[in-house]
Amino acid sequence: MNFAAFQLELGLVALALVLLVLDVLHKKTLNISKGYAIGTIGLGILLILSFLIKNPVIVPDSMVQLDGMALGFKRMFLALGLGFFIINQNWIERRNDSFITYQILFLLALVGMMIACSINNLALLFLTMEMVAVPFYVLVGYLNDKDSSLESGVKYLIMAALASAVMVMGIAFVYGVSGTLYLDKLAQFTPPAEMKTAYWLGVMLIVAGLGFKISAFPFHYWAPDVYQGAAAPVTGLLASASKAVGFVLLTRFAVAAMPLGTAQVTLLWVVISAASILYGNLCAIPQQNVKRLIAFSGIANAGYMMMAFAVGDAMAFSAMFYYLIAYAFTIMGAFLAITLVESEVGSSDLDALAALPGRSPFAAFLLSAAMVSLAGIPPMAGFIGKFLLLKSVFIQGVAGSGALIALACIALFGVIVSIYYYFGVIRAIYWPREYAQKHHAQGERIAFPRILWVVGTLSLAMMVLPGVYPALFLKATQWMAGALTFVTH
Amino acid sequence: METFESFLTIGLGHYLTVSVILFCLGVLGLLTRRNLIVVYMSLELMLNAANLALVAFSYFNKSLDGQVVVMLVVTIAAAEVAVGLALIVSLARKKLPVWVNDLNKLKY
Repeated sequence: MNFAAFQLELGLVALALVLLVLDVLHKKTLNISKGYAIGTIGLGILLILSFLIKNPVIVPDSMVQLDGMALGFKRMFLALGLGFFIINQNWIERRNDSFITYQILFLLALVGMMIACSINNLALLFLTMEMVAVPFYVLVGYLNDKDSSLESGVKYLIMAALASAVMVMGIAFVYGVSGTLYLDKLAQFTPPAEMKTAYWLGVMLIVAGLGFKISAFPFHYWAPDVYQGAAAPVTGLLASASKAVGFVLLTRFAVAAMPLGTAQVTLLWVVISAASILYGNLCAIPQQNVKRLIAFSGIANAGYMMMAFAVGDAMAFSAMFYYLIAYAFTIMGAFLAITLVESEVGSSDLDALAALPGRSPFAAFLLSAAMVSLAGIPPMAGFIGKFLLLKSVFIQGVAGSGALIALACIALFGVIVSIYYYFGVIRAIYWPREYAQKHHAQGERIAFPRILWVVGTLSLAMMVLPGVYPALFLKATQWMAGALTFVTH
Repeated sequence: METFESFLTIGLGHYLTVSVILFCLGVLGLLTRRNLIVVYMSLELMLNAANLALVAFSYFNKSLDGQVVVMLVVTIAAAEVAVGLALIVSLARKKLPVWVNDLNKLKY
């Protein structure tokens, strides 16, 4: 048993259990501020501890490996978890709601996300995906006094359960052909010619299951409805953390099971990612609800990140990790502002954003900065991320793959289209329509506790710093991508 | 006659055929049935079809890993249905329909 690779998760489980036991001891009246303080400090300590673990722990024949990639993403998930813990808390206080129900489900989903970073086994691939998904079924349908939340909960559950059933079938086929569940052994396995169809059927089914999680094009259908119906902090988690888990798992699986970079595999990823970019960007244009808009933009961003799979070398994956981390923190900042709007104005339509500049200037600034970064305007992280991804696609494309050149052109087109709707959000904040100006712009200041300033600044720093000083962050993501070994059978 | 006897000897192919048929029935149920509880039943059918394939592969590969995965899948499926039924109960409490066709507020 590889306990060394499990330290942080054990700490997180212990934290969740302590909060649960305290809740029971206080006969379900655990003082919100007390539980909140324990949770925040505990998550903070775990975050610091994760930076103290410097050396990867690789144990042969273990189901979990704490390599560079796992360590890097665990730090990201802890920082993201801490930020969302505070955002959730602020939202709960505004609703006068029970502290424990929401936050415990969130912390337990976070445990699943952290384990997902270091998997080396197909059983854990399935298990961690479900460890994240099952708490999210509850969180999406959490507002059980609202029809839209329940409806999106049901939709999410049906689609997620379908995805996991498809994935188990895929795991069965891959296991049946290769005889192993371990990803490192799978990487050394070459399917015999007569079993090739069954093997690739299994791989495709698993990719479909994971494609659901990242809302890639043919498996995206749930995203807009679920994002719109769920409460704002839950939508933020779905768009950042849950999508990041999908990408981590997909990276682990695709690198071990598919010979990335060979012509056919490249073509597969080119098609999926080009379709996601086009569909996401074009459908986002007419949206009037900011959460639905971010759902479509999330489909397009999944497309940008999947370009790394089409290229399939360490450079592309380090660019993808860079983009993924910047994207997750950008979304966190955006949803800090959207949560405020939704709980104060009671709506997440673009018109409601007119309330922000007068009632909470920092949140307005944060949301605009997030949109600028997502649009890929130069000083921000989104620009460098897109630039690095496109660079790796171009280099490989010039080396001889026409499909990749086409993909790069489609991605460039997508980026240009996306500027329109991202700036539409900024316009809705600062230059609203007359109707919105009349109904939403006035009102008193929204309470903005100091701790939210800290979260907002963290998110802002992760939007700006990687953009103006990329070398430091690129070194980290290159170290993370260095842990991947690519197969070539 | 010989081919008939080899057909009667149960092998991996037979298990896989049953499993794939069950899986397709599950997909069909998911796509055509309108009651949420029946939709969950179809999902369970798909998961159990995958379980059958896992057990069969595990037996013919002579390794126990696949059977362990089945245990995990059964556990997860139970958790999923528990949450799913809780959602149906909240829908029913609000006197909302449990028919899939009527869940169409979030669409424009």
